[in-house]
Amino acid sequence: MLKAGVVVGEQGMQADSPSVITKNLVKDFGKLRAVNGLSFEVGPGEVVGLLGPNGAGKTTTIRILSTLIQPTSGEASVLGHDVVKEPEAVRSSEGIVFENTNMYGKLTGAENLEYYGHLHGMDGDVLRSRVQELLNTVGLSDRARDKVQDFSRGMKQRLAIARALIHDAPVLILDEPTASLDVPAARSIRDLIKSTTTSERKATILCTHNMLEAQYLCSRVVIINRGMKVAEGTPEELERISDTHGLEDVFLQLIRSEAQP
Amino acid sequence: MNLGRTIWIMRKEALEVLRDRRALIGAILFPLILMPLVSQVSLLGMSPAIAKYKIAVVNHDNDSIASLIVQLFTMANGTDVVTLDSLPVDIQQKLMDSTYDVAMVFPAGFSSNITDGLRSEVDAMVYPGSTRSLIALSVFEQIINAFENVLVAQRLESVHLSPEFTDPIDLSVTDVGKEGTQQTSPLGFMVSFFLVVSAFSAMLGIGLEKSVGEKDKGTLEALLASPASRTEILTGKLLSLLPFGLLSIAATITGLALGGAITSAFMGQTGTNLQMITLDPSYIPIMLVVAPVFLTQAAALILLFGFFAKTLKEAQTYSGIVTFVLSFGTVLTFFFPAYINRWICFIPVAGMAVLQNFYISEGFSPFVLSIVLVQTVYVIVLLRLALQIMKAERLVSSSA
Repeated sequence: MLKAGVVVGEQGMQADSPSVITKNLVKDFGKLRAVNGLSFEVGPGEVVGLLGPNGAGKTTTIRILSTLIQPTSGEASVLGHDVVKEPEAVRSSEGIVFENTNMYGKLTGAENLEYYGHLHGMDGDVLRSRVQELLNTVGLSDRARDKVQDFSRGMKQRLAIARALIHDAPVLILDEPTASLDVPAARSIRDLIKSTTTSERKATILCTHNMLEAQYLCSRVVIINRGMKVAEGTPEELERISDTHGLEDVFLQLIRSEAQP
Repeated sequence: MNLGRTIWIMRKEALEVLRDRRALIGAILFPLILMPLVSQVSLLGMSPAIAKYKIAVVNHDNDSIASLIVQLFTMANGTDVVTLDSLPVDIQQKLMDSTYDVAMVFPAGFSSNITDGLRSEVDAMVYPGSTRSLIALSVFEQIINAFENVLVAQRLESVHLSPEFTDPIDLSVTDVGKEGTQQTSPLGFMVSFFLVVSAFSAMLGIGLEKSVGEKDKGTLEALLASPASRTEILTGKLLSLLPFGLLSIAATITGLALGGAITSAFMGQTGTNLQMITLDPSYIPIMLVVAPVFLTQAAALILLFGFFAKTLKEAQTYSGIVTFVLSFGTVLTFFFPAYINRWICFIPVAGMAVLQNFYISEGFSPFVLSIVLVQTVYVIVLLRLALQIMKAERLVSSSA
């Protein structure tokens, strides 16, 4: 039976230097320790799944990495930029889709993307062609001039991913990008994540509760519980060690072993 | 601070407002239409142009003087006199349901008492719960007073005395306000009050959408995770609010002036003095000094508690209290003497609205200048507080 604390092939997985590094990351909210000494790395071209039950500390970790909140202790850096000391450089390097994120309903799909392009310092023809390219990629070019308030949830989510890609950031952070989407919409977003990460060698962190999605997309997974890393490795490695089939069984085994005294 | 990014944030925020029918109605149409309605329709409702003042007269005297007074009632503009033999048993109910506005009884011997130089009484019944009833009474009081004055004048003439014999002192009133700004005190109170009620409220609706509304809709995290700094976001949002606040002020003053014009057209009187003020060019520089400080303060205050609140509902609770406190501050100036009102000018936002009244009456005096400076310091304090709240982690997260 797989026990918590397993780290398989932790280093040496990445040929390039890691794009995202967290070292002994700790975050306290009053007396509650949401993240407890979390360390992991993500290299270019990798999709690393950050898996864990509700309240495990996934969203808090993402918020630290996106500079929305500061760690209590430990370090986190994106492309060598410290999240506390160089927040603007970190934010410029990341494309983020938050859980329950939304777009501006009174703006059109194209205007939403243009707005974020401007915030990232883009302008003119470069921005216009990038917006058009992304709308084509996410299959929304025919709705570019429609207000987002008239979009379906799936269309909004695809647009949110396009927004995260607008400035061609080398790091993507995706928190539940397919939550509450129907099967075709979820599939199209997964394919988009996979193709973007592979072809553009982006370092991608994926938070999801969907183990099939994690298995399909992630080259490596970090399983966390109560703010601590309990296992890390490729889905295949973790399956082999735990002698189970599928990431879901691995996950359940680890979480249950954590719950045992 | 990156100016380009700030301008893009401002443009996007303004574009959203321009596409928001509710916000535009609240900021511009509401004061433009509601101000004349509030200020004038109530007056129209009480005037005889809508319905004549109904008086029930019971004349037990039937002698010349009582009959003459009743005839004067009948001839007065906007009156409808109904002569009855006796008061109905349910006269109280008839007054309460406005069948009659006033009931008057001339007792037997009314005329003979007057002729004999004795005092006569007319019994008048009114229902104070009806404003029309009180106005009708005042109309008839004026008629009786005028009749009384003529009677006294005749009596004095018969003994070779002039009317001044019984009215030896004349009160001469001088308005000490600057030329072109006379009678502005009550007006200043109204403008201050309506600035707070309409312009502040209009900005409130828009400002809450741009702060706590972004939290509710789930667009704030992505914005905060963009390269735009908190200062740029706050400044962009604040700047986008100002034009709509300014439009709302213009709509409020236009609405009040329209109210004056309506009064003039329908009631044949000047009504408020707002027409004079809005047409007075000297008011423009006053607004140029007062409006930017007032609007920036209002916007900063709204964004401050908009970002402080966790939900739109919580923000709406604060906004109700803040609007009440600020409008109450302006209402106080109507009752308080000027030296206390000068202290009210130190209240943030409301004080700036009140200040324009002093500015009108005494020009850009050292007092006005000092208040503008103090209120500008409030702007800086409010903006710094709003920025601190925006930087706080609770803005996006309070737990794991």
